[in-house]
Amino acid sequence: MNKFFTNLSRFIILILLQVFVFNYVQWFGFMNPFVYLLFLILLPAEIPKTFQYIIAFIAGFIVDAFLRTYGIQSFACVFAIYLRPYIILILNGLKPLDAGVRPLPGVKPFNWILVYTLLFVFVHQITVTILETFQWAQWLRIFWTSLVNTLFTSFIILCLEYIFYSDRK
Amino acid sequence: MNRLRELIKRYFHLLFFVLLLVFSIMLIYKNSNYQHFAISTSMQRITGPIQKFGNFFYRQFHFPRENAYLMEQNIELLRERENMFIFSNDSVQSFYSVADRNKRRMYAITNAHIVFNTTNKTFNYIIIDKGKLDGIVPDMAVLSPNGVVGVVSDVSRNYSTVISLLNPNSRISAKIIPINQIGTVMWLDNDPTIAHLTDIPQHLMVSVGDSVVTSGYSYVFPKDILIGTVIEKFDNPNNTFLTITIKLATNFRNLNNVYLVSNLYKSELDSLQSKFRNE
Repeated sequence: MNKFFTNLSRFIILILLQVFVFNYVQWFGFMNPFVYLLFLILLPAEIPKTFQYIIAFIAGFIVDAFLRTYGIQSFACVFAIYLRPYIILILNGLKPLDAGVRPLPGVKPFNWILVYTLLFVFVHQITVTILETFQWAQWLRIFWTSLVNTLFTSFIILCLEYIFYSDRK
Repeated sequence: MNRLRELIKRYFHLLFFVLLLVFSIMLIYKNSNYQHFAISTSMQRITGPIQKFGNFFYRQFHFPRENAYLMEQNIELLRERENMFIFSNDSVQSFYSVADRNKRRMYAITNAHIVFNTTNKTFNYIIIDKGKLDGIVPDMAVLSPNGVVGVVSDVSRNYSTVISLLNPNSRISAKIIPINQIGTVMWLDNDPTIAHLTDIPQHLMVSVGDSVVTSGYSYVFPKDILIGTVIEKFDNPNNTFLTITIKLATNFRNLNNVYLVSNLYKSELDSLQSKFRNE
């Protein structure tokens, strides 16, 4: 129950932060960090997968509603949360999952967290960019836009993680 | 049958995943008419006020830039006002059409911010943040968005002093609008909201509420700029003129931005006038 409220408050805070702050960050016309992914990154893996998908869909849909891009964020969130177990599997050296994956400083080494965040954000970002552009002719632009955005978003997410979770073991 | 149920149970999450993806794609596919419309309008009803609230804070950071834009735009508009030009009707052909009038620019206009301002002294003055380097010269007219402020008196490199209207030394040639009678506006009381209009003969019909504007006969102020409105008038027993009290249009207590107007033919007019005086 305690975990539930932690996640709920994290959900609300990050969505508000996304809606009120990071949606206004639109540098160079394409850089727009999706910091609310931190919620999905920290979502406990032991929740039933069906619920994970629903939660990801709701999170994406709320952000969609504020960006007026119905469906894009929700699609990308559901897709990223679907691929998350496989990302963790690859990172753990193809060994079966250890029960509670908590990608937090202190629990996991920095490299692990970095690669995990980068991969997760990249999956989300490239899905969003492809759906937004929807033209294969612009594949180069899709690629480097999502790459730059991934680096930017991951940097902010890692900063937030290390600021707010570094003292917890 | 049992195996089927087990299969579904095992891959239920996959099914659900595909279902959500399909739903998202349906949302993305905007031509799915009514459903999309219904969702977007009902969500707008929720997100609209929230975004408005957020935008309120966002806008606070952009006021300085927006003010600069507006200031620029105001100057553009003031520049093109009719009282900034001299018109000459010098042919019969253009007699009927206003647009064909031969016009010549008489005044140039810039803006400045107020650095220092007094209203409660006997001799009030204002300091503005533009000086010789910005092309400010003495005897430029200073206007606010509402009306007349004063005249530039001294100019240093980066700052200038303005003798405000609230100064017994400043006399502005003015006229009362419906009767077009020329008088002089002076400030005598220690009240920053009122001034006096003199030299209006007693036989003229002046009513409370008449506008007092600049006459355009002083080389400093363009004509038809509001100075104030008449609030009180009575016959003066000592002489044959009316005593008229006017409420100033400019609120001198909270001035921030002012416009500076310079007469482009000032030196020419001054030299003509000095010749006349010498004779």
